[in-house]
Amino acid sequence: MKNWFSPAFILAVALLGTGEFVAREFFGRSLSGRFDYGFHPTAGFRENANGTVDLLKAGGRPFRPQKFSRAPAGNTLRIMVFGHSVPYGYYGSGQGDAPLEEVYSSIIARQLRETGIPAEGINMCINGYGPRRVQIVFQQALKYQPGIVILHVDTWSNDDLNDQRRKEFEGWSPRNWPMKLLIVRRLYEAKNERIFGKWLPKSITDQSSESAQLTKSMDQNPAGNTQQQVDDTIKITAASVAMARQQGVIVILIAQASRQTNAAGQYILGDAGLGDRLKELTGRGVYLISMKQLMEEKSSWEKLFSDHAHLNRAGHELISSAVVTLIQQEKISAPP
Amino acid sequence: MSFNSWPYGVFLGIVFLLYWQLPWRGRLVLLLGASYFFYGFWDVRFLALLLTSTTIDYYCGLAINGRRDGVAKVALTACLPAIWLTICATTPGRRAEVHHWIIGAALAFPMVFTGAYEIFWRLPEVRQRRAFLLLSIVTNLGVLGFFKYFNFFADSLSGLLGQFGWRPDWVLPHIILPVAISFYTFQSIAYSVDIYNGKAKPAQSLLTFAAYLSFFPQLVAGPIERPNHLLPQFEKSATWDIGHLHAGLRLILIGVFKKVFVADNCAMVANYVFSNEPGLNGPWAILGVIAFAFQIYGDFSGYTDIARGSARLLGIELSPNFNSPYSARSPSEFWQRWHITLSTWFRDYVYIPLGGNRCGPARMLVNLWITMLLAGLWHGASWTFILWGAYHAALLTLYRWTPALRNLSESKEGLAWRIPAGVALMFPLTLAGWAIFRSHDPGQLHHWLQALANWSTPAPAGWLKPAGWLLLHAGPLLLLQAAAWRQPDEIAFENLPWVLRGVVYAVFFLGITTTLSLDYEFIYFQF
Repeated sequence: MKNWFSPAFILAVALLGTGEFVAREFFGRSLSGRFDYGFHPTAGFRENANGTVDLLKAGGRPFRPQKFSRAPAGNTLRIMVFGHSVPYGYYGSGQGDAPLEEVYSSIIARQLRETGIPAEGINMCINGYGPRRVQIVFQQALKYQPGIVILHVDTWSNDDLNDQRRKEFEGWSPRNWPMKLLIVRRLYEAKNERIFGKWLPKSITDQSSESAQLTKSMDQNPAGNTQQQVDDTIKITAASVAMARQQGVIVILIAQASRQTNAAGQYILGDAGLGDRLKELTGRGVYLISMKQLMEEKSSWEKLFSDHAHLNRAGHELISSAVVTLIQQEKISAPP
Repeated sequence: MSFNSWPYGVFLGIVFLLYWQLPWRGRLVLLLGASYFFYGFWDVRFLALLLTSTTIDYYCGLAINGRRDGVAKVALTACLPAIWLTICATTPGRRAEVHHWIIGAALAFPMVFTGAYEIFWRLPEVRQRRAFLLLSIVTNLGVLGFFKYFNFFADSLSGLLGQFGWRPDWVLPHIILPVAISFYTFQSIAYSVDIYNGKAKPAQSLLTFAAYLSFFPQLVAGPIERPNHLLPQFEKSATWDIGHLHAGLRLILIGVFKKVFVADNCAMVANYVFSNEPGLNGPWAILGVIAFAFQIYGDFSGYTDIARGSARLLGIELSPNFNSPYSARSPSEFWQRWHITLSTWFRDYVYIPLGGNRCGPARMLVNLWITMLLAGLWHGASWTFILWGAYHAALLTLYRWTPALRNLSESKEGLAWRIPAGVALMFPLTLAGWAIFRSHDPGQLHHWLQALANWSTPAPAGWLKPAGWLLLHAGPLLLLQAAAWRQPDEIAFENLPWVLRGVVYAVFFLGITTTLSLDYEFIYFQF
């Protein structure tokens, strides 16, 4: 048997084994949930001994890093915003992210504080998340006693694709065997997300067989418009609303609209009928703000977008004002 | 079943384990069965073509060597393609896929071939050998010409007639190109010609020859082997040695790395540039063709390494096909380093028989151009491949007739600066050739040339990061070659310290696994 394995081969195996051991032993925590692609319940949340919670870019969950206490202080109205890249504050391809304080989750809290209502805004959004994965974050976040949850609802989703990706990596097809090694998975992800996605222009990544699916984003697939997508979104959102209402949490639904172009080359506002359908869910403690309706009242609404779907600063301010007005009109305050 | 797929790994593993348990004859049967299974994985119907080629060349080879087999045996063997096609045609679900005219041709084949075989034996002895050689060459080239070029010439003729306002209403069949046909027909021709020239002996049995011609590691895309190198390895039993396993796995690892990590990642940039993307500029055009240069090199040499590794696991040595081609200082050196088994095939079976450089400069030039045009056409039925052949013929002519260029590439004096200067000149010329080769049609080549000439408009996206991507994926290939510098084989880095080799293996494994999701087919499978 001595000759079966060459010293070079043994060394290669030893190097890979050591790398795997180090990855599991020393980086296991930050990698926990990394390959669940948003389907891990607690990834990205870190509860500290001092009673605070950190939102981290970890475990495959790139939150905007924030810190908050497990329970809101005194009579502070805790507002949590859930959704994808629009409420996250992404401006669109090549334009980067808005500073957190310019995103409507923060503006709402600031505007409320200016009117004398103690409030804190926490941005729980993640780029690229659809309703299914938003709901998983939502379930975990309800532990931290929000007074109001804002669900930014859109029909666009690549949740199924990521779920499939998670299951594929977990599968035992020989193709996935190397992915059982944490070090391989991490490098694979790092290459695809940090090098492939950033070093190559989108026009190339779109052509690649793998990335054509994996890098689907808002830029490629504006607000979904099939009836099935709308039905699915309503169903998932209804479940989230029910969860929040069971705890007595106020829910504000924001129906995403997008800037589309008609055959004549003119901009039109579209939401695939989402605003109308979400009305079904409104009722006691559940309110709806339709972006389409809100924007149509403005003469130059198209300037509120930084691209076809994402909002610029003025767009975020418009949403904030609508939410603040709603809170004031409905006299919503921190739960006792 | 592609070499870079896991089913191939399972298939090879099973063949490897069984192979070393069997006696020599059992091994031949196993190899033949495995090879036919492997080939049938693409399209079982085309096994009939492989059987046809096997029958013709086996009996022609024997006949050229003066050995006559019984007419019944010849006829029975010639029936095999028809029997196979009948099985395919009568298998539920496949009935419609075998055209009647193909079955008709297969049924006629035993009569035609046996008839020709008997007639040729009645010829005067002097003409017999030549007749059997011609029969082998003509049928191989006929099959290749029909299956590979029928559509091309039919479409070209139709287009030409259309230029004169005549649009014929004939309906021509669309011929599917059988995978590997360009390779095994050339190997068959080499077999017959070498026997005729006394350089090789015919196979001892039909089983040996069938296993030799269909040997799965090199069936689909070479290396195109010569009978005196590969055939003797089938005629004796290889002895087990752990070195076979080590060398085979090492070659496979290198090959998969070249294919998956280098070629597939470079392919993304190349495919983008050669997809008629609007607004491309000069830097992108250059980046795209460099990406393709490394894609095709990584792809084809990677395939060759996997083929050689697979064969080596079975104790069989295949010929190297590449030797650092981008370090060539001249077009002739490039062809000594690139697809070596094809270029030597064209040299030995086309260029030299045409007269080579023995008949004066003008005739030599004609021979050179004929050879290179055919080499271009061999790659595919497209005008861009012919143009690519012509381009290389022009380069060879230029280097041959320009003393300064010839000195740069051949002279030993002042070697220190001549090597980098020669390479620096030859590499861009090679790239220009790849731009022709990569273009699907003259229109796409024109689009690339327009982009190359465009240095005024801004790039649609910055090209520096994509250049980094290219360097990241092509760099290891160059390092690999640097490690094997001056070695007879470009992947011979056994001389490196074992510690370094261990690190290289680990890096290769990680490089491969980070690119597993891409799934590009080998480029040369289409030829």
